[in-house]
Amino acid sequence: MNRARKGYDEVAVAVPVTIPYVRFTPHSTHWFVARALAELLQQSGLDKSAVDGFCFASFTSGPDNAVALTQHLGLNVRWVDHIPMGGMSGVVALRRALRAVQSGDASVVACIAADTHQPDSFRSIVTRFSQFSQDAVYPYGAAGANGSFALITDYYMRNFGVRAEDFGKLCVAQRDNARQFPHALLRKPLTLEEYLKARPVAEPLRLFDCVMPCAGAEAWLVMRRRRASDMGLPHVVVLGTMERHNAFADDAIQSRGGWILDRDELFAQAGLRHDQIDLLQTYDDYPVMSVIQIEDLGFCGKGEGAEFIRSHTFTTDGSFPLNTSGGQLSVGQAGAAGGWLGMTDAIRQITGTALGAQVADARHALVSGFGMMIYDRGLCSGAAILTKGS
Amino acid sequence: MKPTSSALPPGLRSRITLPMTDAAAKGRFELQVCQHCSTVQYPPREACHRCLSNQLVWTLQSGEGELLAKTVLHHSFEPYFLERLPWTIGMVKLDAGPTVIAHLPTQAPQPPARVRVSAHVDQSGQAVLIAVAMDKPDALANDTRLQELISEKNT
Repeated sequence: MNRARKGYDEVAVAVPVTIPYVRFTPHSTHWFVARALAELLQQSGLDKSAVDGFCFASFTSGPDNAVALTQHLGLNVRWVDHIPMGGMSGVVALRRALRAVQSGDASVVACIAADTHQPDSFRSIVTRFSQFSQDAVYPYGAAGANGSFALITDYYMRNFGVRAEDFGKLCVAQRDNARQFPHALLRKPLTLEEYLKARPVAEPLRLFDCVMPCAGAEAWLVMRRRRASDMGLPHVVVLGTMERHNAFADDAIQSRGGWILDRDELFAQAGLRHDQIDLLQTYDDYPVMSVIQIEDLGFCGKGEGAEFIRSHTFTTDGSFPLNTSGGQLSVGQAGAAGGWLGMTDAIRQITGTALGAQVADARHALVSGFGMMIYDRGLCSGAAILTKGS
Repeated sequence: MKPTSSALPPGLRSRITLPMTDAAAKGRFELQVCQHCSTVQYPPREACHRCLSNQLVWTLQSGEGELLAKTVLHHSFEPYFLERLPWTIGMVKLDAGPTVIAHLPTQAPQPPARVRVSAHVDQSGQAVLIAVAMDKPDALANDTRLQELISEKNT
């Protein structure tokens, strides 16, 4: 048995920032990073000189990494981290920044994920996403991850009894949640019939199973809890976290993720039961992954996802609120920031500052991360449980 | 849709895949096999993912395996495929161990199904894998789309 991990209770996460998403933009990634940092400072009242840590994620900042960004932004920091983990980068950035502040290596960490989206930028990312995808996936014609997730979805439907209507219910519920979220690019009501009749993208995936790539940024600050309190900043504390990479490598095709290995310790660290989680933010790049996360985090058993979907509404005003902003499926996927959207929205929900519909009495949120389809499966899985800090 | 452009399938590969293409040009489906622990691996890499040995020898494969899943693509970023949509691919668990993504004939079986994977050189001059049902060995010869993919490009 591993020694119990330290908690994070003296550290606060505050000032959730979203730089509004746009489908296409002439601006570079650096523009979005700058706007996010400016917004963090403006909303916190901190001077730039108070930020001594910088944590960054992006797919489109190249050739620049986090260090280069410090010069672009005029940041003089004593701690920097670059998290190239896509849909997992939000959970990982949070974990790294929490420990940096807890250890005293930094006192205020600006965590920022940003990506631009220009014609052809998404294509250029997926063409050379990894050596394996370049050598063994992209030559087969699929547009990025759509093909691999179509295969995973096809397998999942055949083997675990999830139907198109079940995935559709999640997409429709999330669209319902998005209707009040000001940054959602897709806010038009969606019906199950429209979902089912939408054009196929990569069978069995239909149009509304796939996120819309866009530009935008997500950000937050990590600092000592006392400091956040003294500054009067609404904030959350983190009760538990986990990350796991390349789990179940011998599975022939992905139908589960690393959450299974660490969920017991996650909940033990948090001192919570599943029924005490008031909202769940999954990494919803495709609805099949939301089902896998619901199962593998332990909200239901493996193979019980279909029944679970049929017994909940997933809306902010219903049972088992899921992806309260509308998720990437309705808000859009701003590159790596897509893996941060659930976190910023969870911070808002828990501090009672939701931009869209507020989940009533939301005390505990679980934010799940998933990412990096290097070859045939997403390698990274992680999660964090947040609660109100004040 | 009738192909009109001179677009080729994606030709970018890393150097480690070259032996696979050499073998495919001779009609052989070869994968890296670890001389230390006998693990068969794909995609190609610089060390055995199990024991980290670098004694990897390209070895002939039967290609037999199970089709686990398939998808019909209705979208692509690549002009070659855009001109030929819809396009069918699948995921095959080889009996030898690894999972591969492969082109499928239009008349592909429903998973799960026994298939045989073979390696070919596509029009960009690179190795690609094609899986056909074990009980329909003629499926590749009869699929004009796949025959075009692995024919020599006339330019």
